[in-house]
Amino acid sequence: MVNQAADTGISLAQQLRREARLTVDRSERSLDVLLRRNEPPVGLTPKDVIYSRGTFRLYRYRPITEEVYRVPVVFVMSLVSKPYILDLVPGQSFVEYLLKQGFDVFMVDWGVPRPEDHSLRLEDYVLDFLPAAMEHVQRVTKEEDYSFIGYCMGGLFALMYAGAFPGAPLKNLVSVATPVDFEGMGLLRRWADPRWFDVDKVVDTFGNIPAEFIRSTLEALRPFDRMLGYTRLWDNLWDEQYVYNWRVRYRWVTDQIPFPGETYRQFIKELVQGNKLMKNEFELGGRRIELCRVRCSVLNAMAEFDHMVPYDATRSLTSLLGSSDKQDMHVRGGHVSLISGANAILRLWPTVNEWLARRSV
Amino acid sequence: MSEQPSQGPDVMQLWRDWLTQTERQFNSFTNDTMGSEATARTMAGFMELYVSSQRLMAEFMQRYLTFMNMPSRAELVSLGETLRDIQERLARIEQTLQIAADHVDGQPAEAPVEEPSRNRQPPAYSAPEEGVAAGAIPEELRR
Repeated sequence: MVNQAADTGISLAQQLRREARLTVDRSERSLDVLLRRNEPPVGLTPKDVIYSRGTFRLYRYRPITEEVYRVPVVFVMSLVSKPYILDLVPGQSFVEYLLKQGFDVFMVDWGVPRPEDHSLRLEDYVLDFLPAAMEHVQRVTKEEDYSFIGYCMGGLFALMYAGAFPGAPLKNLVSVATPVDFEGMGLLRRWADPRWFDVDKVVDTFGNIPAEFIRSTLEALRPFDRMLGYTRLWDNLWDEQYVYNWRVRYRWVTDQIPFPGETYRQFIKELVQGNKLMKNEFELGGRRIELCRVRCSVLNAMAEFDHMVPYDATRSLTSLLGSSDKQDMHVRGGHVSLISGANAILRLWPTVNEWLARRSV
Repeated sequence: MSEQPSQGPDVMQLWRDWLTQTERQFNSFTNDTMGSEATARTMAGFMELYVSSQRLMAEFMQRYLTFMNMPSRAELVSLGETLRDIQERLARIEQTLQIAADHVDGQPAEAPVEEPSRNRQPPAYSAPEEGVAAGAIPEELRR
């Protein structure tokens, strides 16, 4: 009994010494974080702009293998984030990973909307910009077919395109955390209820929806996340790798961009409030977007703990499609960890690589 | 940074476990609270107030700029829209010319670039590993 107490006493003393030493390390690193020194550079994979219009850019990442798969892969970005989230830092970049696996990788980047872009509608993105970009992909690669990878709202754009142009040579579609059933959008749908949320007034006042508005809405889904994130950072401030990864992730989740006003109005009224895509009532430029007309191969990846695009909003997708080759992938993770970080490197990326490679020859 | 394994309670680990549990409870609590009609109405009320104040401010600024004989934000945005439309038309003209040039030359007008060969074949794959059990998911992976 006495020995046990003595052991415990020694180990407690050791722990205190250890914590004191770590606290000194923490103090040194906290200056780096607080003063925003050594911001990790992101989006470093070499690329060329092969087409641009306004803020819209089509990038081609420089292939790094001598042989690439026949079918090029096009990332379709969301309107909420900047494109570097898929090309974070070397070793944690989905783009870099696919290049190393032998894909010819392109990215559709909508850019940061300017005040005059407030009138852009979903039709502009899906029926105009995307088809124009695909023509350039075909011209550069001299291949007719192409594949899409869409994350979050990017997946929604890709699906709308596939529904609007069922005859397009879209061979494969990987949708990641893509909402289709907006009944399942949880808090976001609750807050956007037309009984108390006047989207017209918001859009008419702001034009483009400010980035701060988007960020605070997303943060309100988990209001303690930021504070607890700081607490975990403090606990790991002595760990250089943890601090680096934290900063990369922090930059991602706080670096929102304005949302084009008219697109926001359409998105809230027709999709979030009306759930029209799910009901086969959604139209773009007079074209009915029916998911049952989508015939390409589809991989639908979703995260079980996703609080932004909940599992309930994503899981019905494959059942709505007319494709004969379709597959669901459930990942135990959240919205960010689904596509980035250790969980993605272990699960999503290899699965997408394997699934796409077989269908890209 | 290797440490001697201790036989006593790891205070920091206990604290970390508590933090993880607290985060889950917080998230569950806020999900219930924030989803209530009362909270949604309150949030919408604040939004209404914010939007109305922004609108008032914008109207005041517009009158001030008119008085000072300066262009308002709406006029500048309108100018930007005109420029964007011109840019769109130029892009379409450029695209048409490109298509015409391709037909005349029989090949794209861009400088020849060394393209990789497109004959890659997929290797043989094994099934991906299954995910770890739900209870073992680190809190970071839940975001």
